[in-house]
Amino acid sequence: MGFRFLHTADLHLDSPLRSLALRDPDLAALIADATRACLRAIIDLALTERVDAVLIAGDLYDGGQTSMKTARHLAAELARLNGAGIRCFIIRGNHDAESAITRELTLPPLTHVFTGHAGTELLDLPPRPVAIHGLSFRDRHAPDSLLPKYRAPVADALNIGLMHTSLGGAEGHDNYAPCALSDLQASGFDYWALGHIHKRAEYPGRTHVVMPGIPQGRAIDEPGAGTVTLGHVDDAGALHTQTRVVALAEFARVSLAIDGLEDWDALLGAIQKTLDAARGAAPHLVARLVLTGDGPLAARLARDADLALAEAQEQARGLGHVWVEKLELRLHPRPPRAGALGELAAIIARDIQPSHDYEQTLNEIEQAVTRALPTELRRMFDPPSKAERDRALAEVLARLEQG
Amino acid sequence: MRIDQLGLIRYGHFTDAALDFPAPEDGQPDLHVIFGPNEAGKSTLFSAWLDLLFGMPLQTPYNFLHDNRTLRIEAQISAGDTRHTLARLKGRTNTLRDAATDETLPESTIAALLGGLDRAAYSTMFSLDDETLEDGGESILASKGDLGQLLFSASAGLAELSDTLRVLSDENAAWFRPNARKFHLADQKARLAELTETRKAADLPVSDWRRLRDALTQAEAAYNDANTRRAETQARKDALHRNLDALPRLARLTRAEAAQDALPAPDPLPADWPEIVTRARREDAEIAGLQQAAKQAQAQAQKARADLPQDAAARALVPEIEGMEPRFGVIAKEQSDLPRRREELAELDAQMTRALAALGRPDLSAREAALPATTRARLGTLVEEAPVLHAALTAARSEHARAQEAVRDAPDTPPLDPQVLDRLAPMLAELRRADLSRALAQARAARDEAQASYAALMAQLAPFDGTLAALLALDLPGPDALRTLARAQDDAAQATRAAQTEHQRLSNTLDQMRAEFGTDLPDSAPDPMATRADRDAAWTRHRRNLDADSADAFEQMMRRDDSAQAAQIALARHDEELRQLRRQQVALTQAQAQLDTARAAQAEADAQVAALWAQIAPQAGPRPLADLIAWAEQRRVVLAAHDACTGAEAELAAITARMDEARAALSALLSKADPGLAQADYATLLAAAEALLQNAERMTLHARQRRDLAARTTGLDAAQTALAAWQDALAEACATCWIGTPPPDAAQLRAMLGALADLDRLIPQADALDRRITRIEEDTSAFQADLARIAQALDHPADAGPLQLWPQLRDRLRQAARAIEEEERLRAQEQAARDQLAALEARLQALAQGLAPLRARLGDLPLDDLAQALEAQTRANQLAAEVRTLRDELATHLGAEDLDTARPRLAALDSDQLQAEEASLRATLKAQDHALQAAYADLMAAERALNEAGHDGEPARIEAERQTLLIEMAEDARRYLARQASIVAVEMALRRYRDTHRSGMMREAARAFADLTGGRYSGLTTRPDGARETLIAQLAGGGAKPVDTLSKGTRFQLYLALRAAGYLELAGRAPSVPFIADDIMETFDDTRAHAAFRLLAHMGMHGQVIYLTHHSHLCDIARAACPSTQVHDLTAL
Repeated sequence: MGFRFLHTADLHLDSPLRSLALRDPDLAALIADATRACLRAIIDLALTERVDAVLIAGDLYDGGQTSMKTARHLAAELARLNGAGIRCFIIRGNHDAESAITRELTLPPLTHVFTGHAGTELLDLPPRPVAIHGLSFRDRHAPDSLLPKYRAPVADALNIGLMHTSLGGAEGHDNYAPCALSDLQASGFDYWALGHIHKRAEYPGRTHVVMPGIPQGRAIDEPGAGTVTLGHVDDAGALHTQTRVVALAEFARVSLAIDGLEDWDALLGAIQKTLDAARGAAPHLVARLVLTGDGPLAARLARDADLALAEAQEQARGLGHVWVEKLELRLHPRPPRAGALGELAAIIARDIQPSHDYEQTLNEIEQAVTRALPTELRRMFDPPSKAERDRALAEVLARLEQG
Repeated sequence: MRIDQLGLIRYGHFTDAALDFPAPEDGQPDLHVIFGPNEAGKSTLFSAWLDLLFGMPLQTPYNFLHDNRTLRIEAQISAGDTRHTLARLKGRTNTLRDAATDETLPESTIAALLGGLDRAAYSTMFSLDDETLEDGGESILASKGDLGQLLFSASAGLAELSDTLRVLSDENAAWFRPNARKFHLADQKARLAELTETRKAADLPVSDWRRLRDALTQAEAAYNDANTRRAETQARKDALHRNLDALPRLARLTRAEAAQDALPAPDPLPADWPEIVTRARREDAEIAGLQQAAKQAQAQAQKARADLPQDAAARALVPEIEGMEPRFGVIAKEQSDLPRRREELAELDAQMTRALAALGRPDLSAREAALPATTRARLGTLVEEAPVLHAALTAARSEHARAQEAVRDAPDTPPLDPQVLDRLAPMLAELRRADLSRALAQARAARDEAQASYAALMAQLAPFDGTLAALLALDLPGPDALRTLARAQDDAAQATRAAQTEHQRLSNTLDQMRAEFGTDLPDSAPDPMATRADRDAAWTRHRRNLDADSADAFEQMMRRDDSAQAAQIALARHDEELRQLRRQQVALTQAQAQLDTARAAQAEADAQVAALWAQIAPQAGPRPLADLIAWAEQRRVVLAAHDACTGAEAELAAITARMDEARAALSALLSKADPGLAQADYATLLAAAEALLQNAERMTLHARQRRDLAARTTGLDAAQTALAAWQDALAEACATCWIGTPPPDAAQLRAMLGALADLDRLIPQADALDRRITRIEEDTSAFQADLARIAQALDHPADAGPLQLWPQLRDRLRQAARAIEEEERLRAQEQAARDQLAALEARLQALAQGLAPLRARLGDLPLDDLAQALEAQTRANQLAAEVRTLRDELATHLGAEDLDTARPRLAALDSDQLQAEEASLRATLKAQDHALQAAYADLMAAERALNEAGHDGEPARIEAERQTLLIEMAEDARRYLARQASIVAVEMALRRYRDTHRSGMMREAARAFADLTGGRYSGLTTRPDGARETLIAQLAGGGAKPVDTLSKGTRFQLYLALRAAGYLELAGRAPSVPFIADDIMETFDDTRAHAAFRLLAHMGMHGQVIYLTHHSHLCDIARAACPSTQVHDLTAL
C-alpha cells in the first residue's frame, strides 16, 4: 500500500501556445487548447494510478489570466479528483498569487490551497502519517528564500514540502524565492515538490527534490514532451519515482545537414526521414527544422527557403502528427562571389553596410514599420538581427544571379 | 587564360577530335572564328568547354554516342607562363585529371584560373548569343536608362537585373507600403482587432461571474423563505381538516348506537341462512302457480271433447276421398275441353270437301280421291322439268338467228398465198426495227462533221505544209524515245558542266603542285652503299692509325656519307611527290576524256533533233527538241481526226448497201401478186407490204364466223326433241290413275298436285279426333255411377251433376275426418295435466324438508314469518359491527386524544365556521404556492445562467489564434525589414558600382557604340535624374536620345557595346578568360558585322575571343576586319 502521489507544477492553464505552426488551422484545432488537454491527462493519470494525493506546486495559470472559464475548468477537473476521493494540495506561485480568479473560485472539499502562512496538513495513513507542508506566494515577488518560514518536519511522519522557487536561479526565469538545493536537502524533509522552473530536474537523495518542469511546453523555448512525477512511498518507507509524459504536443529543434544531398528530391526525402526520426513521446511533434552544412543545394535553399518550408510542411503532413513551424537556414557561409556580382557583394559589405547613410535609411524604414504595427506588438517587437539581414541579402543576391 | 587546344576525345558525336587555337603573334588580337554548318557541333564545343571547366552535369545530352563512363574532354590551357593539360571525365568525384598522367587534380586548379567564377557566372559574363543579346536590349528598356544598372548588368551579363529588383520590391510591398492603404499588414491588423472582439465576447470575466453568483445566492434565499411560509399555512390547514373530518363520523356513531336498542341482542347465524329462506320463498310461490295452471288445463280438455260432432256414416266413408278426388280433377278438365274438340272435327271435314271440289271431283270421297305416293312423286317430277325444257328451246332459237346474221355480211374473197405471207411478216418486222431511213440521215451528218474537223486540224499543223500522204510518210521516233532523247540531252549538258569543273579543279591542283615542286631536284646522287663502305673503311683505318690524317680522311668520308644519305632521303621524298603529281595528271587526263565524251554525246543529241526537223519542214530550219515533242503530239491528233473521217464514210456506205438489199427482197415477194411493183422504190414497197398483211388478217376472221353457225343449228334440233319426249311421259303417268286421258297441261297438273297433298294431310287428323271424343264420354259415365253410390250411403240427394255433387259430398267426408283427429289430441292433454300435478306435490315435500333446521332455531313459523325473524337478527349483528368500526376510526382520527374526552369537545364545534376557516386557508396556500413557484423559477434561471457561463476553452483557443497572428506579424515585419534592407543595399551598391566604373566603361562603350552604329551616333553621355543617373545616346548630327527610346536594333548594338566595355573593364582588373560569342550577327548587315568584328578584335587584344558561326561569308568579313583572325573549320574535324 504505502503512500502514492502525483507531483506537477506550472500548468499555466489556457496560456496560449506560441508557434507559427498554429497558422495551420488543422493543427490549431488539434492542439490550441493543449494546456487543458494536458491537465485532463494529469487528472486521468491520478485516477488510473489511484494516487492518494495530487501535489501542484504553483502557477496554475498565468498572472494576467482573468477568465473565469479557465478557473472553472480547473475546478471541474479537481472535482473529478474529489469524486474519486483523492486529496489535492496546491500552493500559489508567482503567476497565480495575485490572480483575481483564484479568490473567486470555489474548490472541492478534498482540495486544499495553502495560504500565505506556512501550513501543514496531516494525512493519517498506514503505516505512518503523511505531513504535507506548503506556503503560497502572497504577491508577485518573493526576493528572499521561503524555506525558513516552513514549519519543522513532523516527527515520525513522511514529510513532503511544496515550494515555488527558482532554486539557485535558472536561465529564462526570474529569481523567485531563491533557495539553495543544499538547504532543501538539509531540511529534514523526505520529498520536496518544487515548481517554477519549466525544465525538468530531479535530485535523488535522503531528501528527494524534484522540479517536474512544465507539463505542456508552449513554444520552441520549452522543448520536449512535458512530464509529471509519480511518487510511491512503500510500506518500508522507501521512495520510488516515475516520470510520465502528459503533454499533447512537444516542440523540438530538428537539425539536418544538407552535405551530400544532390537534388531537391533527395532533400525532401532526408527531411521526411529526419522528421520521422525526431518524433518524441508526445502525440504531436511541432518541429523547427534547422538546415546546416553545405552542398549542391545550398544556393537554391538560400533562394527558395519559402518553397523548402512549404514542402517540408507537406512532408510532415504526410507523416502525420508532425508539423513544421519554421525553417532555419544555418548553412556554411558561401565563398565570396566572383565577377561583377561578387564585386557588388563586396561593395555592399565594404562600403554600404557600414555607411551612416545606409543605417539611417534602414532606421527610417524600421520606424515606419514599427509605427504601422499594432500597439501590443510594438512593445515586444525585435527588429531583424544581423544574421537575418545577411540571410535576406544572400537570398536577394541569389535571386539577382538567377534572374 | 586561353585555350591552346580543346580535345573532344569522346563527347557528343566527336571521337578523338581536337581543335587547335594557336597563340597570335605579338601585338595581334587573339580572335578565332569557328565555322561549321548547323549540327556541326558548335553548341557541343561550347558545352564541352564549360563541362571541362566545371564538370559534367548529372544529366548530359552528350552521351548519345559514347557511354557516360567513357565521356572525356581534354584541353591545353595556358595562363600567363604556366601551361595545364587537363582532362575531364564524367562522375561524382575525381573527374578532373592531368591529361598526360591521368592523375586526379583538385578542382581548385581551375577555380584559381577562373578567379572563382562558377558555371553560371562564366556563362552569363563571358558568353553571348542571340538570346542574351535580345534580352540585353530589353534590359535597357527595363532599366529606364539607369546607368548604374546598365553598367552593372553589362559587366555581369545579367539581363534581368532591373526586372528582378522590381519583383523583389513588389513582393515586399505587398506586405507593407508606407502611405498606402491596401497591404497585407493592414489585413492582419483588421483580423487581430476582430479576434480581440471575438475573445471578449466568448470570455467570462470575473465581474460577470460574480454578478451571476450573487444572483444565485439571492434566488436561493428567496426560495427558502417562500418555502417556509407555505409550510406553516399547510400545517394549519391540516389541523382544521382533522376536526372537519371527525364531525360526520361522530354523528353516525350516535345514530347507530340508538338503532341497536330496537333489535335483538347480536347473535351470529350460519351465513347461508338468509339465502336458504329467500330461495324457499321463491320456490314455494312458483309451485303454487304451476298447480293452478295444470288443474285448469285438465278441465278445458274434458269440455272440448264433449263438444265434438258424432257423424258415424260419414266417419265410415272417409277413406273414399282418396280415390275420388284425382278422378274428379280429370273429369272436370275433359268436360271443359269437349265442345272445342267437336268444333275442330267439323272444320277438318269442311277442308276435305273443299279439296275434292278443287280436284273437280266432288263425287269422290276423300279416301277415294287420294293417290298413291309413287304416282304423286312421278307427276311432281314432270311438272318441275317443263319450264327448263322450254327455256333451253328459246335460247337455242335466238343463238341460231344471230349466227345466221353474222354469216350473211362476210364477203367471199380469194385466199392469199400463205408462203408469201409467212416470209413477208418477219421481214417487215425486221425492217421496222432497223429504221434504215433515219440511220442513213445520221450517218451522213457524222461524216460531214468528221471531214470538217480534220480539215481544221490539218491547217494548224505549221510549219508542215505537205499533204496527208507526206504527213503519214514522216518517220518520227515515238514519244518515249523523244523523252529519252531530251533526258540524254540534259544529262550530256550536265555531264559536260561537271567534267569542266573537275577538269578545272585538277588542272589548278596540278599547276599548284608543279609550282611547288619545281624541277631542280638532283637526278642522281652518289651511291649511298658505296659511301657507307668508304666511311667504314676510313673508320677502320683511323682506329688503326689514330693520327691526324686518318682523322681528316674519316671526317671527309663521313661528310660524304651524310650528304649521300641526305640526298637519298630527298630523292625518296621527291619520288613520293612525283607519284602524287603523276596521279593527278592521270586524273586530269581521265577528266579530259570524260569531258570530251560528254560533249560528243551532247552534239549527237543536238544533231538528232536537227535531222528530225529537216524531215518535217526542210525550209523552216531546226527548232528545239521541246517544240518537236509538241509538234509530234499535234501530228498524232491530226492523224486521229483523219481516222475518224474514214470511219464515218465506211458507216454511211454500209447503211446504203443494207437498204438496197431490203428493197430487192421486198420487190421479189410483192411483184408476184402485183407486177407493177417490180420497179417501185423502197418506201412504196414497204407500204404495199403493210397493206397486204392487213388484208390477210381480215380473211381469217370470216372463216371463224361460218364455223360458228353450223354449231348453233345442231343445238336447236336437240332442244325440240327433248320437249316431245317429256309430253309422252306425262300422258303415260295420268293414264294409270283416276285422272285418265288426255292428261292436263302443266299448270293444271301443278294445281291438282296441291289439292292432293292437302287431302293426304287432313284424313289422319280427322280420324284421331273422332277417337278421343268417344273415350271422354265413357269416363264421365263411370264417375257418375260411383258418385251415386256414395250419395246414397250418406243419404244425400244425387240429383246434381257430377261436378257439383262431388264437392258437396267431399266437404261432409272431410268434416268427419277432422273430428276424429281433434278427439285424439284432447285425450292426450288431459293425461299430461294429471302427470304434472303429481310432480308438484313431490317438490313441496322436499322444500319443507330443507327448512326444518331453521324452524328448529327460530320457531315453527310459516315461511314468511320465518323470513322476518331471520332479517331482524341479521340487522342487529350488522349494527354492532358498524359501531365498532366508527369507534375505531374516530380513535385513529383524533390521534392521541381519548374518544370519550374528545366527544364533548367535538360536539361543541360548529361545522359551518370550520368550513369558512378552511376556505380562507386554502386561498392563502394557493397564493403561497405561486410565490414558491416563482422563486423556484428564479433559482433555476440563476443556476442555469451560472452553468451556461461554462468553462469551455473557446476564449483560450481564440487567444491562441491571436497570439499566432501576433507572432506571424512580428515574423513578417522582421522579414520585411531584412528584405528591404537588402534591396536598399543593392540599390546603393549599384550606384557605387556606377561611380567606380563610369569613366572607363563609358569611354569604351561610347567608342564601340559609335563604331557599331556606323557613325549614326557619335557616342554616349549621362544625365543626372534625381538620385539616378541615366544614359543618353548622342546623335551624330547633334541632339540626344535617352537610351530607352532607341530602336530595337540600336539597343542591341548599345548592349553589345556595353558588354564589350564591361569585358574590357574587367580585363583590366582580373586575369582574362576566353569570351565566346555564338552567331550574334544574324541581324547585322555587312557594315555592322565588320564593325562588330573590329570590336571583337579589340576585345581580343585583352583576351581570347572565340566566335562561332554557320555563315561562311562572316569568315571573310572577320578576316577583312582583322587580318590575323584564325578561321577554324569544324567540318574538318
